[in-house]
This record gives sequence, structure tokens and C-alpha cells, in this order.
Amino acid sequence: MATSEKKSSSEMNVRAPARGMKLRAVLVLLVIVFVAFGGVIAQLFHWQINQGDSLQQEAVAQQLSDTVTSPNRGKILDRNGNTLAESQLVWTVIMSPAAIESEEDRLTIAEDISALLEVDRDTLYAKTQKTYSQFEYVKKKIPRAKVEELATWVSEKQMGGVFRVITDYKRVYPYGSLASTVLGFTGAEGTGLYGLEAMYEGTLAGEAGRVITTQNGWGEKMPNTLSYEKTIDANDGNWLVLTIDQTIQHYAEKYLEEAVRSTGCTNRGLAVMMDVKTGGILALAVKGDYDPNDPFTVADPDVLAQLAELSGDEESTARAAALQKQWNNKVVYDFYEPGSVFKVFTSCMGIEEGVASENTTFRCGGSLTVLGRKMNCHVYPSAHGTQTFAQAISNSCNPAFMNLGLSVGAKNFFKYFVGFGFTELTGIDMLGESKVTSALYYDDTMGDVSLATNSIGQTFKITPIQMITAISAVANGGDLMTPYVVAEQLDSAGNVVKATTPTVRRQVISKDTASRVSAMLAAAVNGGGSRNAYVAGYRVAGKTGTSDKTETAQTENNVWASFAGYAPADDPQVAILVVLDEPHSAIRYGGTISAPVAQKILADALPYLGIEPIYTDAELANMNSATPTVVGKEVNTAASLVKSQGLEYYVVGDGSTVLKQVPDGGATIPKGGQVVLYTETTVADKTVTVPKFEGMTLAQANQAAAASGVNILIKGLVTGATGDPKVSTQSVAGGSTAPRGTVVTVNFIYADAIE
Amino acid sequence: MAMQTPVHGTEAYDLSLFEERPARLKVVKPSKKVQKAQRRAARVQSVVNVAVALLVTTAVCAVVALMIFDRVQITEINDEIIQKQETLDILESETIRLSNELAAQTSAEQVDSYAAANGMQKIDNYQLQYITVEAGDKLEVTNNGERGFFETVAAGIGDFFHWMKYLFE
Repeated sequence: MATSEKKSSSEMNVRAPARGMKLRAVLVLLVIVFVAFGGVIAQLFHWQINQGDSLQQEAVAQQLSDTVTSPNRGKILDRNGNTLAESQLVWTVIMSPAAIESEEDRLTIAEDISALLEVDRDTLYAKTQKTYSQFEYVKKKIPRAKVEELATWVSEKQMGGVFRVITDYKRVYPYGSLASTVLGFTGAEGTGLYGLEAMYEGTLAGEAGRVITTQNGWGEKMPNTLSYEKTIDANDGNWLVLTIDQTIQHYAEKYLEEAVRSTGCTNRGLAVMMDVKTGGILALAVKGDYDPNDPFTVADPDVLAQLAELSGDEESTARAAALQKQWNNKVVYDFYEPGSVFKVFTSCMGIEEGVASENTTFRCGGSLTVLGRKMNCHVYPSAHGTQTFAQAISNSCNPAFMNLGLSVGAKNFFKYFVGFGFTELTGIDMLGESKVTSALYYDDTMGDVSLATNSIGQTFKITPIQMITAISAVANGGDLMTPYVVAEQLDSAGNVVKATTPTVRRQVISKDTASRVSAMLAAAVNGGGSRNAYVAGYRVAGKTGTSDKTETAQTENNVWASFAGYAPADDPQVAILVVLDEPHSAIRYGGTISAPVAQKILADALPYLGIEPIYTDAELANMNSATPTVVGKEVNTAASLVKSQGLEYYVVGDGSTVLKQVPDGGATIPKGGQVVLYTETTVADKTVTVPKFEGMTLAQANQAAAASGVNILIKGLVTGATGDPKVSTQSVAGGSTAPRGTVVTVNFIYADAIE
Repeated sequence: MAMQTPVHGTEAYDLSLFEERPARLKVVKPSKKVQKAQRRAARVQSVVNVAVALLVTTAVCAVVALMIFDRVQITEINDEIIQKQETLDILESETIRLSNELAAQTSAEQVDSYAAANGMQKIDNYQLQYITVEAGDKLEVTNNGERGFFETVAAGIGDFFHWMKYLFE
């Protein structure tokens, strides 16, 4: 027993020391750990817990690159999908002067790069001197071809660390100045500054995106970036589809520019065409405009010449004013006195109120005295005498319409004045429509003198957009529409996001009144005072106007010359307004200088729109003949073909086959015109001297053409109209030499004093 | 035992003999045959172990290599995508530039200028002939003579019935 007890005791003595020792060992270890690593643990606690959040943010900022991605600015299209404005990817060249190693390199850069990128050499050299800088702009918004040239140069000169390019966007307008006052332009940062670019900035701009990716310590993207990249796609801007038709816009701008130039307008001209059924603007031209690809350059050479004579602040102020003027959309921004064009609405008032009818007669003694104030007719001291309402419109007789206005009365006059929209904004979706205030017009408390002058469109002011909208109301049967330019908004995939629906603001006059007034206006064009707006095959209704600029009447004799009308008169589709501001030609009447512009625009636009002409018998009888193509035919056959078209022929040479003809086949010349048939190639072209047709009557022009051997193509004559038309322009200059048989287009103008 | 002085005193029996003693293992040596088999099994086992180890190592290496290769591929493809995207942007920019140039050169104004410079004359409105298309603007494409098998069969059947009809008229 003692042995086992002793053995147990020895066993107990062996276990007890081991446990205690273990505990002591662990304790010592812990003490060592805490003592040895306490500092580290404290630091860890400090960095991980106390500073953890801020350090994490700093790490994120350092390791992640957050780049804003620019959205694509939306396109602007015309009604047929032609691009009028879009953004193009371009590149901006950045230079790091700090990386330039030597003065020799600086000089090389200044010489070569200034020539390559077309920048000022001295300015570039000065930038190369900024040795502390790593970011200097060299040239912004250059095309790809220039970037590649630069890359080749950098490679040859081994200056890889000096230049880099970054992407940018540039707004381009492919058609230059076409519809520039409508489109507007964008600034250096790509935001719209004028026109639709500014009006629809929110729609066109889109929303920027972000690309968050990893970067190394030098700020360069890490490899395999796409795996660590988070992209928030940019939302591209929406596209605008306009009601503007690029072709009709071209017609309007072409003929308007000719008129502005030939009449010497010093305050620009405008032409607007509107779809009378919807209020959509088909064309809006202002001449005295600019190229939106280079908006900060004054486009008018005369104004540039004037600016060149100035200097310093005076030059800066004048330049700013000139730029502002060319950017303004005259159609919505400028006010003008409508003059006799307003008689259209006075006529509507008279018929709608029942105070006049087509058979009402008016007496014109040359002037009318109202409350002691004498107001002359434009034919004073002559007089129109007794005339019907239709004749009064055709004659644009002031006393007749003043009497009509007095018969309507101030209250009713103002009621229709408001009804036609002349006291409020039209609501067109364009920037800068001028605010209409009561200072611009007389209200229903106006006296008889004001009523009389208002009846003939003087002593109050409206905007051109108000006028075309009101004329459209007469054309479409009495509905005043809200004009608009943007028909649809599309997303970048072409889906319609928003569409404009035509809005009728109110009915102003009855369909019957509109129809009766239209008939009288059509008669005025078809042989009456507005006959310079006549277009063969189409019944055009319209009214001319010439209004004095009363504010400057004491010092200058400036006018607004205008024409407003619509066609076809029996089923109007389009309305047109042409205004020439401050023309300085010898004849400044609206009927003489503005109506022909409208005539030319309508003559091109109506067939383009697919509106089929309906010719009267008289028009058909007076039509020109198309020259048949007879080259290669026997002379006898050719002669027979020419005669069958009602033309004459003249054979040059002794050959039996026609080798050449003047004019060419398809050319139109009046019946009785001459076709020259050349039968030998060795025979020189018979040349003649083109007569100076300008100022000639029809008979004189025909005689001169026959005598000289040229053919004339007559434009501007109204079949059956009275008057004394004379040639205003000819297509081939008088006195020049041309082959016999050449067709010279001569434009006739009725220069009667119709305002 | 009789010779030694008992440790436990004068007890009659040596009770220590009756105390429990730990069992003593008797080592039984296996036969040589068994030993041989065991050695062989051990050798095989070690070879298998090595093979499995090698296999596992190879598999792990392969997976790691594939992962690395995959990453490399992804990186290369990503770089290629970025380059292609840049190329696409450049080409789109060129497309826009060339389209705009084309539009500017073929604008109505340019056409007018070109025509006037070449002595062309604008046609009069009365020279335009308007036509009415009653059936809309669809086009009819005439058969150019080539027919497929089924068309030939169908045409043949149609001709047969037409001939029969002719016979019995």
C-alpha cells in the first residue's frame, strides 16, 4: 500500500508544477507581447480606428480616377432630316514646357509648331519659357489630320513628353450661314449662346457621365482598367427636328440677299414663310446674318470697313454692337410699323362688322382731314376718285381705309387688333421674342386721328412674327395659330421623345370674311397694285406696304418696305412676309422692291412643295417654248422641230447635219425666239453684243433682242395686267459678248407708285 | 526467490504477484511473405502518394496558370477594346467632317453657282409635268426569266390547265 500511495504522491508532484509553469509561461508571453508589440498595436488602433475613415477617403482619392465623360450634344435637323448642326470630335493640343530640354528645342517648337498649327509664333515661344508649367494650351479644337501631322513631327523630333492631345467637341454647321439666326451658335464650352442652341440648351446638352477607374502613383490608368472600372454612361442630348425646310430656306435667303444688296438696305432684311394650317415655320431668313461656324467675326464687309477706321474702346464698343446686331433674330426681336399691309386686317374688320362689302364705294380726293389734321393719300396731289372696296385694296388708298377704320370704330378696331395677336407674344419657341408693351400701340380709347392712322398701319409697332401669324389667320379661314420652329425632339436612337402639335389660339374672323378678303387680295396681285408678286399658275393673295420710320423722319427719310401674302389663294398652304429695312434704292416702295422677292420665293417654293400650278388660257398662250434638242439631226428635220415649237431658226455653215445649237436643247425662250443651228465645226461661234435691257419696256426689249440676235426669257410680267413694266435686271450684262442665240433672262418690274 | 530476503516482510504470500501488472505486448513478427507484401504495399502507397501529390500540384499550377492567362487575356482584350473605341471615335469624327464637307459642297447654293457657271438655265415651272400615281409609290420588279424549281412546276401545272381549257373550249 505504501508503494502505491508513494507512487500517487509522486505522480501528483509531477502534474502540479507543469500546470503552474504553463500558466506562468503564458503570462510571461503575454507580457512580452504586450510590451513588445504594444506600441505597434496602439499605432494600428490609431490608424485603423481613429484615422481609418479619413485615410480610406484619401486612398480612394489617390487610387481612383474620376473622369467626367461629356455627352454628345444633340443634332439639329431640318424637316427632311438634313443635318443643320452637329458636334464633331476634335482634339486640343497641350504642351508641357517643363519637359522641354533646351533653348534650341524651344526655338524649334516655336518655329515648326506655329506653322503646323497656325498659331502665333511669339505667343507660342513665350509659353515654352514657362519652365514651371506642365499644362499650356497650344491650339484648341483641331481636326484629326492636324493631330497626325503633329504626331509625325513629335516622332521625328523625339519630343514625346512635351505634347499631348485631349479630346474635345466642336459644333459644326455644314451649311454655313443658312438659317444662322434660327440656329444660333455655341460658345467655347459648348453651351448654346443664341438661337435654338440656347433656347433648347437643356434638351441638346444631355447629361454628363462618369468613369471611375484605378490609377497608379503617376496618375496613369492601371492595366486591366476595365475590370476595375465603373462607368456611368453619359446621356446624349436629344435631337431637334425643325419645321424649317433647308431648300425653301435657301430660296428665301438667296432672293432676300439679292434684294438687300441691290436696294442697299442699311438695317437688314427678312423673309419668313409659314405653313398656314399648322403655324410651322418653313423658312426664316434674315440677311445681314453671320456664319455660326465663326460667330465672333463680323460678317458684313461694310461694317468691317467701318470698324477698321476705329480704334481702342470705340472700336471694341462698335464691334460688340455689330456682333449683337448680326446675332439678333430680326423676325422676333425687331419692331416695325406695318404700313399698308395692315389694311388687310382693316378690311377684315370692315367685312366682319358688316360696315363694308365688296361693293361699298369709297371716295378719295387725294387726302382726308380728321379733326383738323390733313392726311394725304400716297398719290397726292392726285386722287383715286370713287372706287369700290376691291379697288381701294388694289390702289392701297389711304383715305378709303381711314374712312373704313372710322366706320369700324375704336372699340371694335382694338378688339380685332387684340384678336389678331398684336398686343401679346406669339409664343414661338425662339429666344428673344420682344416683349410687347402698351407703349407700342393705341388701345380702345384712341381718338379719331389715331384711329385713322392706325387703320393704314402707321403710328404703332409690331414684330414681323406677329404679322406673319396674323396673315396666316386670314389665309386659313380665321384661326390664329401659335407659330413654332421645332416639330419634334428625338433621342439619339431616333425615337420621338416629344412632338409639337399645332395650337389654335383663337378664331379671329369667320371663314366667310377670310374668303372674301382673300378674293380681293388675289385680285390686287393679279393685275392690281401688288402685281409684282404674281406667279403664273398660282393665285397669290397679298398686300404691299411702305411705312415711314417716324422716329427718324426729321433727319432721315427711312422706310420699311414690305409685302405679306399667301398662296394659293383658293386653298392657302403657305404665307410669306418680306420686309426690307431702310432700303436706299431710287424706288423704295414695298410693291416694287419687296413683292418681287416674295414672287421669286413663291415661284420656287410652291412647285417644290408639290403644289400643282393651274394655268389660265391666257397664261398658257403666253408661255415660253422649250428649245428642242436637234444636235445630230438633219438640218431640215431640225428646222421642222424648231418651227413646231413656235420658234425661229438660223443656220450657220453649209453642212447637212446640225453639229451644235444655241441655245441648248431644253432652254426656254419666248415663242418666236431664235435657235442658231451650226452645221460646221470650223465655223467660229457667231457672237453678238448683248443689249442693255435695263429700263426698257417689253416692246423695246423684244425689238432689241431681235436686232442683236439674242433671245430673252421674260420674268415678272402679269398676264392681262395694266401698267408699264420695265426691265429691272438681266442675267447677262449689257455690253458683253455672247454667242448668237444666247438666252438672256430679263426681269420686269411694275414700277408704278404703289406703296 | 527463496534466496532473497522478501521486501514485504514476513507475509506468507507474495501478494505483489497478485497485483495488476500492465499487459505486455508480445510482438508477433509477421511472416516473411507478409512482410514482403507489406513492403510492396508501402512502396506502391508511396508511389501513389507521390503521384497524387504531383497531380494535385499540377492541377493547382494549371489552375493558377489559367487564371493568370485569363487575366492576361482580359487585360489584352480590354486594351484592344480601348484602342478600338478610340479608333471608332476618330473614324466617327472623320465621317462627320467628311459628311459636312459633302453637304457644304452639294448644298443648294453650290448647285446654283455651279449651274450658273456652266451656262445652265433653270427650267420654267410649266415645264414640270405632274403625274398622279393612283396605286401609291410601289414598284413592280419584272421577272428576269430565271425561275426556281417550284416556280417551274407551278408554271407547268398552270400551262397544263390552260391547255386543257383551250382544248375544251
